[in-house]
Amino acid sequence: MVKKLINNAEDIVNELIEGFVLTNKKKVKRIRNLNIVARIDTPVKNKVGIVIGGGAGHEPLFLEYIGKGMADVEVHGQIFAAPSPDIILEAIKTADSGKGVVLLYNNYAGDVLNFNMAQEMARSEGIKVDTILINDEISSAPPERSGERRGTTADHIIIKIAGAASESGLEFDSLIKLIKKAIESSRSLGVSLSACTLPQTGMATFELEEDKIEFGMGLHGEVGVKRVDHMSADKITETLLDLILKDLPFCNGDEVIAIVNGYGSTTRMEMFIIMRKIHSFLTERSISIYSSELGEFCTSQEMAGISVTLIKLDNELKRYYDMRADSPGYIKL
Amino acid sequence: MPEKLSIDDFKKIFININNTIKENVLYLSELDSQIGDGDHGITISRGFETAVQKIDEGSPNTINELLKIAGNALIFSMGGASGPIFGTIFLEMSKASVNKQLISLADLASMFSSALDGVSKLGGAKPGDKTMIDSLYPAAGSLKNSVLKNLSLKESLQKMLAAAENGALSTKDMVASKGRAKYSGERSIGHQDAGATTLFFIIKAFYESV
Repeated sequence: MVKKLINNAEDIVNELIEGFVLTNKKKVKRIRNLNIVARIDTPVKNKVGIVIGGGAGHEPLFLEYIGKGMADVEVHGQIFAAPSPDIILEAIKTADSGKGVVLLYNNYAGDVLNFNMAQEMARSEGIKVDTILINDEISSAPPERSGERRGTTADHIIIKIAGAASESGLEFDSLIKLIKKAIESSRSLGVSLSACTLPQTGMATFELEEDKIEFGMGLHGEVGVKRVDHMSADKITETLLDLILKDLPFCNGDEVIAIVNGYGSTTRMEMFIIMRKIHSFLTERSISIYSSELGEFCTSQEMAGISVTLIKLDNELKRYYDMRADSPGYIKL
Repeated sequence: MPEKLSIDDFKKIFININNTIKENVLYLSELDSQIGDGDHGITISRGFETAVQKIDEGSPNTINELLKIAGNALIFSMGGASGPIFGTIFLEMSKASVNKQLISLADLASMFSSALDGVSKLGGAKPGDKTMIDSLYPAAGSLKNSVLKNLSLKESLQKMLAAAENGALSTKDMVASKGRAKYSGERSIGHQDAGATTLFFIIKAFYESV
């Protein structure tokens, strides 16, 4: 049983949102007492609204990625559970300034069911809404069924690109096309060194032996694809990159953003060591790294482990990636 | 025992579902923690608690109104995949019971069939996928059979309960291919599905209320 800093289990999500808003008073606001937060200047005129969201417990995802050049509104569910359609609908209305709203979230059954219901409800009220699912995680389904893949750690950059494009005035259909391109250019795979525990129960979502690591474990402790003996950081990185490179595929001459994401209890010390290997591995294969991102972007409570994401860039994606962003969870100058 | 169900019977049914779920919260969560993230019991309990509350507050005059209130209460209080899926059961039953003051066995069979169709379409699950469909499908089929055989309501509910129970138990040896559990693959074998178990409890409450 793992100790956590919480009060009553049923108050976790509410209290975390209250704390988040107090921490970022000048940048964000809460919508009434709902589990919805928004950029302080929402609704922003003359741009397509971007609504992101999903289950709690993965902070900074999605909660902290609202702001100028990022998303407009975020809707937070219970721990590891999708929010219900009524509050997603409120989030849609909050984000809508008349140019339409895009729902951008991870491909999980619960999220899809609830967001789809809200989308139908919004459409029947005359709001222009469409959905884009993030499905970057390569172990959750083979390439020929990539539509079934779950979304994991490319998210904050996808949101950033979407936010920049929307801020620049890109209109609805073009924006959707762009976001889809960004997602299709992204591939992620992670390795877990421990499972995580649910704060409400203190119980582990999964059992992983002391000397074992698991590739492709999900953000909620879903079983991965390969459980092996622990290896060196370099060997782990090679294993991840071999699979990631093959999947798109990333080729000789490509330019990428390389992301090392910590799942929650892995140290920056470890992440830097992984990033070092990523650089040499990609350089050997003539893949250039336009930008390196390292940190905790999408966590799974206190899971130990990391995920690596590569995003292949073209000029259009680069342009939006380079634009300014200002959100509690991600800033670009 | 009457051969038709009235709105008061349905009020009783939901109170009993709520109580049955409450009694089994820990068990359901435990099932869910083996191949999921362990929150099913708490979530479904929240759903039916809200349903009972909303039915009480809403004072519906008709059965279909009551079922609609219950379905919406589940969807709007639960979240996760379970909210829309369990809520849709009752929303579909509501649509199938419009203009009916009393529900006969034939009506009930058609309501359960509609629920099965609606949930199957929504979630895409088929029998054998290790979901609550594995309990709902045999339950709905059993009612249809009972109608053909002209059985009494009580006997039909008894048979439906047995079918639902067997369905839930049979999920133990299936490989999950939907929802969170599908990422467990072969590891899901040997664990009974929490959703199918909840559906069994729902039908148990139906049976015990009448």
